[in-house]
Amino acid sequence: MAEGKYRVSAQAEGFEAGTAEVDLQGAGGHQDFALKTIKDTQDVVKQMTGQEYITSLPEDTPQHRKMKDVFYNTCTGCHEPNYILQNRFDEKGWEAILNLMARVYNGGGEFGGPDISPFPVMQYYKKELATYLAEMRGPGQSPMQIKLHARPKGEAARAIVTEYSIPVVDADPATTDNGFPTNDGTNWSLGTPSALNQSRGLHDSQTDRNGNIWFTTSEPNYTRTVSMVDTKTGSVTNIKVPGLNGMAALTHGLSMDQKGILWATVIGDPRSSGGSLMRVDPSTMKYEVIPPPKGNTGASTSVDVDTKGNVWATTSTGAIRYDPNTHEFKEFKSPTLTDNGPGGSYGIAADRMGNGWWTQINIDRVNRADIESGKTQEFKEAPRAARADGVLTAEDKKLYELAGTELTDFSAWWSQGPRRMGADKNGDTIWVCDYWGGNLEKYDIRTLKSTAYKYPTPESAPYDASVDKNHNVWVNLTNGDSVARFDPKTEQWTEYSLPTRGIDLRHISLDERDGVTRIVVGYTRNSKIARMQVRSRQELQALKAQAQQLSAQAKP
Amino acid sequence: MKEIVARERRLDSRSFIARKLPALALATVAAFVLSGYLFVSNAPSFAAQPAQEASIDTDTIHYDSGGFNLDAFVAKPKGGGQHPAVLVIHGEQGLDESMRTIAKQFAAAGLVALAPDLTSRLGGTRSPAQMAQAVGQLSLNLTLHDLRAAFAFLQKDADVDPSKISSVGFGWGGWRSFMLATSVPELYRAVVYSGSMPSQGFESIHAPVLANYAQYDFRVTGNALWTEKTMADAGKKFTYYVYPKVYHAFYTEGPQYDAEAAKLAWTRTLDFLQK
Repeated sequence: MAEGKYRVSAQAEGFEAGTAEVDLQGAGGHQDFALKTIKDTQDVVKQMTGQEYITSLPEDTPQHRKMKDVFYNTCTGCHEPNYILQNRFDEKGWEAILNLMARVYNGGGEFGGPDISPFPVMQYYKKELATYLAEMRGPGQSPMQIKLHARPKGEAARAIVTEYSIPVVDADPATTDNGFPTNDGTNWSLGTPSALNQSRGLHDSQTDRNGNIWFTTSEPNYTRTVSMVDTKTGSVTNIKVPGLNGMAALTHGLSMDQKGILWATVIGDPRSSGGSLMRVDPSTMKYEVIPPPKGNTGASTSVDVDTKGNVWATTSTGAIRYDPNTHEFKEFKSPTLTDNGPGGSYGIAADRMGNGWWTQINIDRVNRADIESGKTQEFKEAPRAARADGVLTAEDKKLYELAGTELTDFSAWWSQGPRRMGADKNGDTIWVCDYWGGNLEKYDIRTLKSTAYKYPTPESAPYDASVDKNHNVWVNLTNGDSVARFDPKTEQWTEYSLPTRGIDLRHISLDERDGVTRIVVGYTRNSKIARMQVRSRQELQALKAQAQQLSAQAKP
Repeated sequence: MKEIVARERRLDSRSFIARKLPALALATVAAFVLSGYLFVSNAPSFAAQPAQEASIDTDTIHYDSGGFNLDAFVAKPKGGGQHPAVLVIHGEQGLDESMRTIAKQFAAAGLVALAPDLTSRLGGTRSPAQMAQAVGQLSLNLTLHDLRAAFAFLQKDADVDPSKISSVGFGWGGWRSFMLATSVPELYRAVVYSGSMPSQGFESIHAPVLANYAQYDFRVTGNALWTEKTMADAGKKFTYYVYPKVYHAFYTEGPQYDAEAAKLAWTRTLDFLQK
């Protein structure tokens, strides 16, 4: 590290954060921390991750089990449980919030007005949910049994995470801290941050060949379509593609091809029926928006590049493949098609044989396009066993039927929720994250057989997967504020906690330019990007020895 | 299952659009709605019926709403006497030709139909694209105010039986039809086509309410149970039907029009209004 003054902090659940300034000169610096125990449970609760909140909800009665499922499936698809459960309200208070949320657009978070139809499942259970939430997180004694995640140890404690704070787009000085979020989740004791000051929006992130990190922005703004963080200086450069009404076109998915060209999906692009592809050359900063031809469905949430350089993107009805050499688009429809609602594609990955795979999160399907035959086939995931199994009434079932069963935005109790996915470009596997089911699902691209690997910590909400050069699968755990590595050989998991709370992780990418595997994730809620590297025990010991040597030299 | 993907969709700019249900889910949903699905061969369709036009009078009129003159299309049965009446509340596409046709069909069935142009305050009827945009810009409370004024206007019409004035709202207008029931105790009946429901005020409702929902209009139709229960808890009459395998705008000419479902809904609506 360069000489200078550094703010150093130490944090652990159940303890107050310790912070200090260290003046790093010559031989280095030294700072010990003695963290104070937090005595009030309510203050500990504020530090908890979404996973910890959900796991702490009791399942001692059929009603508790049922409402835990209703809450988990209805209220945590768009934001983490900790954003909700850090609050305490009485029944009326929770009902007021549910009244609002039932009519909020899930994309932008705006209130749609009293005349739009509320989300049926939330509306139907509103009273029961309000009663339940007031019991769990109300003014009285809660039956929640606080269950904190085990502190990291061993390899899980050897991660170095570098976080880049990204200025809030179109920052309002009145609601930001010099252009940055007033609470960016750094101090866990402040609780899960609100994203209502426009700190939400950063979506996918990807390292370019120069080591700079690019990211997409999916929330309405006037400035950012795609942006680049200079990882040496931390400065951010924005590219704005004109959208509607003077605003920036919005982007969602992001990936890089073998030539170092970045590919993003432009969502809701007026130039096409739904969305376009965006090509960005990081070396020149030049970009091109490529709308699919008329008649093709537009690109949507996710993008991947196959081993031949073809760009695959999800659509509302399946997937498209774009050949940058011939400029040709090819469209593939999901066998079970539901048109821009339940059944819209979410995650995508291209296997090393050149076939495309995509998920339909709301109807529990994984699809594969066989590039040779042009045919698509689907794989229906087995329903998960819900806590509420046996508690469902005929009325409950009728509700889900009327609401489309696998209604967009919410899952049913039995949904697995295949969200995003990653391909092993050097192997024969595709890895799918079951958001609700908590599985990592492996698909063998040759036999087409699937195997589910349950994530050991329940309710962690695995979201996206990326496979490294050694075939390890890296997964971002939305409810855990963490990433995890799955070793397919040993079938063992290692979870790495990230330093910030309430981060709404939605994407994971790898940077392996120099042979070292670094994990890159964007914090959607907190306007940060993190790059993580795991050190070996030997590296750590060597570092310690070096520090001891410098320290000894510094002594008079 | 009909192919709908390539079709132009009738968008509700402020609500979710019609969606297609996964095939596997169809069987179960259709099973319970089909039990009440009977084909009615003699019901009028929403397609133009020139023969019926001879039996009705139509006009474009203006009515006062708090000092502002709103445009409205009116269709009346020919001949004297007082008739039951219906307020036809347009959807997100505004007072277009399909709404006028519906008003004419009501008149042909013996009702006085008044179809206000709720975009009058923003300049009135215009191109379809502009109309949808204008509807999205309307003040929610003013539209309700203007509908109450339309109801009062009908009450004073010599051709109208003031004890039998109902409302029928389509899509965006469906919520307004239901809302009218919460604030106009004299309302005789309220009909909702593919529309939302109030979140409160059920205790003030006097009129029985009928709802016609499309199976593939999940966000709207999914609220049927809550509405049924809430109305029952308030001691009010609420009947709903779910029309299988149809989309939000099944009731009117356009890409989502479904003749069989539209006819059945129409018959049920007329029966309900003429009871």
